[in-house]
Amino acid sequence: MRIMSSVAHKIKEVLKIAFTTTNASDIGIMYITLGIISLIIGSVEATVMRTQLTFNNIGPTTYYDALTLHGIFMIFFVVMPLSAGLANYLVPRMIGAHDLYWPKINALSFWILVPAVTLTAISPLVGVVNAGWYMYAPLSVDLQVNSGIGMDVIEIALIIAGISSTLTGINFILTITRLKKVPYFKMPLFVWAFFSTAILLMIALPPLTAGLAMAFLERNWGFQFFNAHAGGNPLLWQNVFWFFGHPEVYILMLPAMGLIGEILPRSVGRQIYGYKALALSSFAIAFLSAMGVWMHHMFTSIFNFWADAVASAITMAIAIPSGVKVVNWTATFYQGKLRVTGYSILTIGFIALFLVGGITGVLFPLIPLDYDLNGTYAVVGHFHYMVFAIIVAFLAALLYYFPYFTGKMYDMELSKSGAIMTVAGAFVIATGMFVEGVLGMPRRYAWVPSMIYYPFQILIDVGGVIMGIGLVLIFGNLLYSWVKGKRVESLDPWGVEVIGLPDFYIKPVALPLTFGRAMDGSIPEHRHGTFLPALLGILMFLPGLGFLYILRFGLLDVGLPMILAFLAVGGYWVYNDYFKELYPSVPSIRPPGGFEMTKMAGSPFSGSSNPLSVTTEGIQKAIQTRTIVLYLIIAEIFLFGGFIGGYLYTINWTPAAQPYLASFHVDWYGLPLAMTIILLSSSIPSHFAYDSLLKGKLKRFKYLGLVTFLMGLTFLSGQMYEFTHIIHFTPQENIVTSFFFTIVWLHGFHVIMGLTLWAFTLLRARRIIPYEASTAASYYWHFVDGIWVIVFTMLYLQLPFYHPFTPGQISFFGI
Amino acid sequence: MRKAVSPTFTAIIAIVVAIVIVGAAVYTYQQFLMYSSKTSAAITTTSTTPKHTLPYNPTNKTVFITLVTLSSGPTFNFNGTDFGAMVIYVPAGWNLYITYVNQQSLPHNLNLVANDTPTPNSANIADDGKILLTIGATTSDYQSSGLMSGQSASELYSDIPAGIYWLCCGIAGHAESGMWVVLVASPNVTTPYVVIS
Amino acid sequence: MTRLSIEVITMIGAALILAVLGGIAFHDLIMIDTGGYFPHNEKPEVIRVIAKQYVWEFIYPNGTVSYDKVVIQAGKPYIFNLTSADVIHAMYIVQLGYKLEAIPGYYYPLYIIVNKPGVYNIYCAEFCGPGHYTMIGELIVVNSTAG
Repeated sequence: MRIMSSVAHKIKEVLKIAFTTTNASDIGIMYITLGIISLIIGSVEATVMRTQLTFNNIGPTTYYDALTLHGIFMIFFVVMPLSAGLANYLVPRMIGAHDLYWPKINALSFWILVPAVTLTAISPLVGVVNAGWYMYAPLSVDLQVNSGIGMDVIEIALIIAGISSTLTGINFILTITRLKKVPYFKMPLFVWAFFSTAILLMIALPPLTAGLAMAFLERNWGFQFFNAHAGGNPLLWQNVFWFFGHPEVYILMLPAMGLIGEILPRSVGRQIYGYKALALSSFAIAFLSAMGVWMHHMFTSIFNFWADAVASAITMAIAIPSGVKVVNWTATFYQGKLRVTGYSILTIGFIALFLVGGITGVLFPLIPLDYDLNGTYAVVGHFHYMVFAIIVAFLAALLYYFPYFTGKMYDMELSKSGAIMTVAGAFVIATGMFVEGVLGMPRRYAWVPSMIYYPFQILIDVGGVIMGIGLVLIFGNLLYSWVKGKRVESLDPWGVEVIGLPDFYIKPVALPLTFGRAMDGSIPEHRHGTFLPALLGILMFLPGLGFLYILRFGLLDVGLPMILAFLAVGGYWVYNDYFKELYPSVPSIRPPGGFEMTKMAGSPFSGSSNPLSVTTEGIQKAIQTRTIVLYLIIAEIFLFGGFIGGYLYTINWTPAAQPYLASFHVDWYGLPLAMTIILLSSSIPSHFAYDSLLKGKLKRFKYLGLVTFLMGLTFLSGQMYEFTHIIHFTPQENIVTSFFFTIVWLHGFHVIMGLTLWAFTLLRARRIIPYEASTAASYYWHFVDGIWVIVFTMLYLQLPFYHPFTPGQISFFGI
Repeated sequence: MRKAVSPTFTAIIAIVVAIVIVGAAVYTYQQFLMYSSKTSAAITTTSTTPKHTLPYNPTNKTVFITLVTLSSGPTFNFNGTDFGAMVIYVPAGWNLYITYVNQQSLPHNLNLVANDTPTPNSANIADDGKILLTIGATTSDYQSSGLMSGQSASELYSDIPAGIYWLCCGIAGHAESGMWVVLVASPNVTTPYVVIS
Repeated sequence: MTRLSIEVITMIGAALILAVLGGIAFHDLIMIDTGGYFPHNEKPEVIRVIAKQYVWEFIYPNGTVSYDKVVIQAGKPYIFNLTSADVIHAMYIVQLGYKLEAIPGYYYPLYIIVNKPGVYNIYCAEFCGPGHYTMIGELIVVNSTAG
């Protein structure tokens, strides 16, 4: 009885912490848990695939469902959460921060993944998802093959997962740059790695959202982005997707490389060789990966020498910083003494898998070789070397940090056996795949086209069994030891502190560093938390699903309440954090002890204690907010970039779109011109409003802010009139009209967000001086105006400099 | 608290894994070579060149016939042909070394039949003639069991008398669905060859 | 050897190897994608290829339509003008190690000249639906007849 109730009590305690914590260490643990659960789901999908390929007894549609989900789960819901989780757990401890810059947004980022994983897991039950993880159009938007709402639900899941990742990226950039207590070139290598990853998260996920939105609109509202019969272009999807897709694989790989930079030197007892080169090469790789490399996934789908040349050259260039890393890791073994442990075997396994995988990868930018190997198991083999390397690095991290996390030790020999089997199995699988592909076996085949490939499928099965047993050994060992393992006596379980390689800046005062503990392992006096991020995160599927119901099924009375419910919860959170405190008579969700909880976004500093005149600290806060708004604007620029870049690609390089472009006409004089003048001039009161606030002229600030707001509102009203009374074409006619509506409405949505920011600022201004909010509102407003300049000149005025190229016949050297 | 696992365990695991991997690699290579030779034989016999000489050993007067049931094309096929489109000509009195491979997951077998009807039209091939040889099954279970998924078997039939025969599948109904080729043993044939029409 | 030079050696060495390999690759790429291997005096025959779910449709210059099989003569130059009728496919001729994607709205040329007669396998190499793995064709190269 007593034991049962104590277990029940423990579970209640854990759930309470889970749903209300905003502590990075706890959130990290939750991310890792989610990642491991997704690993099980992804492995089940892999088993379905292996069964079909061995026995030909399951059938193609189910096989291809499993194939799509295997890729999506492993990439988006295993590796990304595991790396975000390890980052949350390790980075603050390594740099001396007690939490991330935005703890509540951090919790929100985690909870968004819960509906994302759920939606993806149920997708095959509500439709056919034969699309593959990169969901090429027009197959993915083909409602005949991919019927039902399975694909749509996956699109919604990946859009919200992308929002989670972008917020995480910005959060970590702010944390590392503003909260670190160590100088840059004394930061641990994992922090460097995740820093560069965070920048990629900020810029690479928005274009994915753009592409997914296009696919969603085409599936559910008849837009024509990828339909060649209406001027659409399947290559549009490929370009937008791979612009995300290539940085994505570095988002997957960089944190793993960073972990090796931590575990390797501590396994051989010496400083890592070439610290600076390793730190900077992470940035070099991240930078190069975002420039022109993405087209190396498209060598067989484009027929253009210049695109080929740029993509191929920069891809080969990325091999160079990667090579430097391998050399430096290997050099670290020299003059060190290797302690053979489970995690050191996994570390060596990582270097080997990365090296071999990298060598196989070098073949692909040599385009004549790519003409042979693309679309075959050679590609599958190459990337399985890489993803197995990543998984092996994460397993090494789990083994290495386990004693900190649980305060217990596991069986070392069992961990070594598990490590050996995992690495060996991974090698067998990836090598079998690569050799098979070189011999000609195409990828995404439910059964071999010729029996000469069948023995390799069996070899992959053998590798899979070995790797599976290895994983079971590792996880089983860890789970058993968590409960029954020997307690670790010292606070330095691997003895690294004594040799001058401490693991953390925030040294533990007690182990375990488990769920609910503070950063240093002590039990916190007050557990301050809020359920609002969890609530909003879990409900994040509502807007997408609402739009699905409205657009596909015409059920406005189902979809609209969903969207409104989501907005209501979001609005309540904003009200709770920013307005309740302005009216102290109203009871609020506040812990006792007068502890000032951080807000949704932003520091606890809530305006000045003196609402009548500005203070220097207030002005400082405003200045500090500028960079933050800039990061958000950068992410938005890449979102717009996906759509605007897609439009430019269409008008310049899509032969099928040319007739529709020639016949496209929209009146720009009259209402649109008037509204443009109003919107662009609203930047003037916006600028002077902010200027007035910084100078202490608060009444003028409020007045000019209100003018800005009203001018923006006029613009929106003008647009609504224009679209209901003046514009006579529909978005579903052809690709040009589809882009027109999408880009203008995307901008309109951002005008609404800008107006919301101004309304928020002005409402706060009734009681306090809104230093940070006014910075956000005015900077964001300038961004909205800037984007309109591009949209108006490009779509309404159709200025010729957007269309310098004439797509004619496909000629290899044409531009 | 259980006892720690000894280092011998790890060593044994490493050795066992190494043996398994090397064995699997060798097996894979061997199987690959086997399938490659089968497939290339199949490809040459499905080419559109009308007359193709078969491999033979004149010293011991043995013709080597390899028939493969492919997993693409018509279901009831030998080397992609069906309904007797393939005709094999051998010198009368020679020995036949027949190898049969089935690449499909559906079971098939191969029988040499001295037929007494022009084309198979019974579910049981024994009703259409005399079964001289069964490959890939036994004389009692040829109607239901056979080879599948890449399995193969070979048999020797000595001194084939002059005449016209079938090489056909014995599984009930398969021969009459088209799974047969014609074998002609004639004194007028000096080197064995095959014709596909 | 100072510490810096090992990294510098790696970078320079890698760059050199990649530059050489890249140079060879670019030269070969231009030859492949402009018909540089074709004999100069012969005009290549154009065979249209339309990839569909889940069959290859070949249309000869004289209008004959053939499904899944195409017959060409050894030693003669051909251009396969490749497109798709529905979703993206890819025509992969295994033994020639050559493929391009078949994309609706685009017509891509494959410059083909095969010297050795035989049967070559054509596999679809871009996922096109549940029948993707059944889209298997044959390129049959026969001895050339007239000179």
